[in-house]
Amino acid sequence: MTQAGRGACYDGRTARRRDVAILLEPGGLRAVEEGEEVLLWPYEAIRREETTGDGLTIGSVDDALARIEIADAGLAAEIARRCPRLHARADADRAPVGRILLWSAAAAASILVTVVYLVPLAAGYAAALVPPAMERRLGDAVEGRVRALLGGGGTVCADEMGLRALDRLAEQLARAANLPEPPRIVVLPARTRNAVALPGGRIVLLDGMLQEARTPDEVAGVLAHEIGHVAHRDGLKRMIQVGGTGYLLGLLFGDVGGAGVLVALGQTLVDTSYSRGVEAEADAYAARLLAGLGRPAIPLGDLMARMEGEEGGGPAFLRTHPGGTLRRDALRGGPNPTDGAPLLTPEEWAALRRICASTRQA
Amino acid sequence: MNHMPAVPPPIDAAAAFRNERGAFFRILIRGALLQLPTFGFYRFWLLTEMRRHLWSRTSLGGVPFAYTGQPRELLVGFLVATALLVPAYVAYAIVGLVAEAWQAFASVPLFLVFWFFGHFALYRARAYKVSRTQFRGLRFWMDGSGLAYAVRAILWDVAVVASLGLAYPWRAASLERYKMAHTSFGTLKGGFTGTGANLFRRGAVYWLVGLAAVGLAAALAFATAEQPSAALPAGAGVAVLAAMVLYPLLMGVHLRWQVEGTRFGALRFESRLTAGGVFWIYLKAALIIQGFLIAAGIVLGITVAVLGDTPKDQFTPGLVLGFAVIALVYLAMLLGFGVLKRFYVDRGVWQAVADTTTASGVGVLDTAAAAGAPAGSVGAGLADALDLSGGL
Repeated sequence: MTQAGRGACYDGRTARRRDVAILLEPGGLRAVEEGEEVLLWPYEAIRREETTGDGLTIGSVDDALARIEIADAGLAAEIARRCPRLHARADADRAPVGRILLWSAAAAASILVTVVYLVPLAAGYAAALVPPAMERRLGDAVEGRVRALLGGGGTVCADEMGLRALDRLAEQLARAANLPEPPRIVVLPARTRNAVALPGGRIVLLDGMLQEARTPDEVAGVLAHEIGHVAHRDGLKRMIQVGGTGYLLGLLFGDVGGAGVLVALGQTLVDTSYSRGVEAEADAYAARLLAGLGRPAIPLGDLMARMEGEEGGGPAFLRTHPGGTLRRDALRGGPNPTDGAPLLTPEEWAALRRICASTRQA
Repeated sequence: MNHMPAVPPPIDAAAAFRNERGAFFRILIRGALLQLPTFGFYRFWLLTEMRRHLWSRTSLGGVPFAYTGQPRELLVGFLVATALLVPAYVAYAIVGLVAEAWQAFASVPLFLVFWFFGHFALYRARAYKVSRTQFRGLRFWMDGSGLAYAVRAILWDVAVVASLGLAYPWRAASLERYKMAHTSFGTLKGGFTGTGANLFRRGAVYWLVGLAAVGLAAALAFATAEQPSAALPAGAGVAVLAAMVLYPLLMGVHLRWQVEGTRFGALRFESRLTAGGVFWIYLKAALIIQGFLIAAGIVLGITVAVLGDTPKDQFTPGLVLGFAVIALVYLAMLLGFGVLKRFYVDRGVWQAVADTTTASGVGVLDTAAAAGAPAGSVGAGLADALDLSGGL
């Protein structure tokens, strides 16, 4: 037995400090208090503990709690010489940055692929399984919030002459569209230039858009475009997509269930545009619908291009109405007949533009 | 009411914090930089490194504490909690849609469900943390029920709101009593003797100042009611200023009361922490963070001004560079705020509490024997998934 020095030992069984003799033997480090063995640790199991003091504090991989504090520098150096894995815990405690980076990137890539490719695909199939009655209920569910986000102070435009003109326009479009259920159109007294199709056939048109339009054909084009979204059930697909995407991104960024789902859904229906492909399909639908009435779709393109132009320059990704010019060019390629009767008389058109002269609570 | 002895028991140990600013700052900077490319997953390692640092540099009677938690446990806890939340999330979405169809914004009360989850998760996260605290060869540990705690906490939350904050001290005392009654150091059971009345007496003056500020804010709003555009900022300004001043002061009062009420058998603590001391920590942090944000804002302003002169029709190298600078400054602001807050506020308050705490009756620790087991990490993961794990 070689007594090498002394240490303060907490044996992991009680919190009492035991002043022990440290014996460095061939089989390991032995701590002895008044002739009684307190601990026997093999040298390979001994690890240095992170601590504040000047001395060395050691523990063992076989014992999570016991500690020996050694103040004597000479003894500490001797222990360090005998313990091959003294610093292994510090090494193990160091974060494996490379592996964390790799797995984080893999998780992110997997979720992004799912969000970009699989969720839209799944949303298309899932939407087909949703019965129309449930879709209508979903639309009703978000309508209140969408209205609140779009503005108008909870009122809808209700000028009697204007409503009659709107009805006539809507009726012609609905007859041509021949949907199972005619779309229900409301105008909100908000100055933003926007129109939104909700799941279940509700179309919200803002007064700002009506004021921006110069001819009945332009408004008819906007409505026909939104009817296209209704016919394709784009609103429902997007709600499913946004819900799934929100959940997956929440997973990635560690905020699952923390964000209000409905807030996100309502907000997204208002804020974001559909993908270019979905918009182009709704435009093509609008062109066919209007052609059936003998009216051109170019005015819709003119309106879009005008709104794009009024927003001024800047990269496309910073604009709210991108691609207006492109959409106009695409619509120019369509049939664009002009032989049909005008959809509204000049008096009806004037009345429609004044539909927000009076409002009522929604 | 607890009976204070006229002569305090003799101090036989002092707590201390060994300040190593550089080491802690390096942990924070590294963590902030790694948060980005790991999409935040590094937070489990960062939190563990911070705790390991702070615990190991804090001592009582010259013996340091140790934090034995592993980042991997937190990661697994988070993943399990995420999986457990799936049904809750789906049910929440469906019920929300149904309620919303009935009336817009009717789904808001559903937050109550997550409020309950939140209290439960915070209790279990505390159990995780406590049971990974090692001292003198034993571990602290907790029993008790997270569900019972959550019910208790929600009832007290309702009482606090209903009483305009007046019930807060009694809430704090009741919840702290529950937590400490279920906390042990080995076989030595913990307890809490602080009372709501005592905390109320210590904080009453700040509470009254707060009420006066709210009154002043309301009066300002009414006085300028003809110009609503002026009323709102004036009232809000008074309220925000009052909250910024009162929060650190109340925190100082609360922390001292908490330290002084904590017991482990005959072991008790005295604190010399002052509300002013905590206030200065916050004021210093606020000034430094403000200075940092202003500097970042100046860089941002110059970049935008330079960018304003370049044509924006196509992607020129200058435009790309400008957007890169803006993105970088934005990120620096985002990360810098977190780093500075943790460095000056979290570490500062931790050190202030440690350096002002003394203990008596330390001898009772010799009687403590090993007991208890480490708690699971799912609660900590749940708190993280619910975005509640801001603190240490």
